[in-house]
Amino acid sequence: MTDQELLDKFANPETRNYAFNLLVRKYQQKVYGLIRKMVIDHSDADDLTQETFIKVWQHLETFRGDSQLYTWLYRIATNETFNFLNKKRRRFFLSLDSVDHELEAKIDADPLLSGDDIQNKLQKAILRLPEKQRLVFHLRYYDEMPYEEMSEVTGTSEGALKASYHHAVKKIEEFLNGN
Amino acid sequence: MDNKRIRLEDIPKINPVHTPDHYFEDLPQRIQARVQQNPTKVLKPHWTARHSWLTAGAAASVAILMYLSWPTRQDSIGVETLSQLKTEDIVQYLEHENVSLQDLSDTEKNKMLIDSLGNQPLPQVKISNKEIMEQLSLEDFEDVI
Repeated sequence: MTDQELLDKFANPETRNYAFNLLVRKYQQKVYGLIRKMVIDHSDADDLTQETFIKVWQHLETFRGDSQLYTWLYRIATNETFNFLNKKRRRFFLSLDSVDHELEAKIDADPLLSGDDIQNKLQKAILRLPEKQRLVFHLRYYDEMPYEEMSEVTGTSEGALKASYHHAVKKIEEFLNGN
Repeated sequence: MDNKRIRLEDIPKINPVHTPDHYFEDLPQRIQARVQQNPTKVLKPHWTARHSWLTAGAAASVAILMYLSWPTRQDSIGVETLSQLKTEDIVQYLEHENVSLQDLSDTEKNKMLIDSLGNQPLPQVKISNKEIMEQLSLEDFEDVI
């Protein structure tokens, strides 16, 4: 079912729940995957994925179709994720580095993350990136999202995103070779 | 040395994330259950100074339109209104107002038209005496004459 058909069914009160269920099934893996890569922990990612879709439910009627539905979903998911990370930092008076070290420790402890040595190292390298640059890297590297759509998600120009991704790759390679 | 450097493109791109069994089968139901407790938000109008100016402008426009149309509505009587009256009622009304049929036909406009004709025959009507007499016989007007 196309996104437009989903939106049409959502607009009809009789088929709203059905349409929303289809929407969740269609995008849950992508949304969860992005959040999980950002917060590492499964239960945090689970909470944030649910919160994202609840916000989608509450605001889908206001979606005007200026962007693609899934970039709109990603925008909500990234906002939820950044808010979560900021709150976590404020709540425990943690610095950015502390949060990253905590997440790094989770990479080693989490059985649900790939245990391959080089993959493990790659995840740790990604965690060294600033949060926004980490998001840019995930969107481009794992989701292979075009820069135009990344621009819709992040609200950043395509040129800035290209530069950010290029620097992210350099930093990751430096980390991989330096450790 | 450069050959030993690890490059990102050399690393197999695999999804590092795994989930508990049946996680994505159960997630939609859990979200749906939470959604039932969170009805869609209804957008409430947000009143601003701009709205106040727009409302005042709209009210002023309506007031001006009513002012301009009011005398017209008072003075005019629609054709439809008159057509609903019976002829007898109109005649009765005119009698009540002391307006005779002669008065009606003697309006300034009619008078001017009649005066302009004078005693001259209508120039556009080309009828011979013979034709007039024939028409009178057909209409049985000879007795009247």
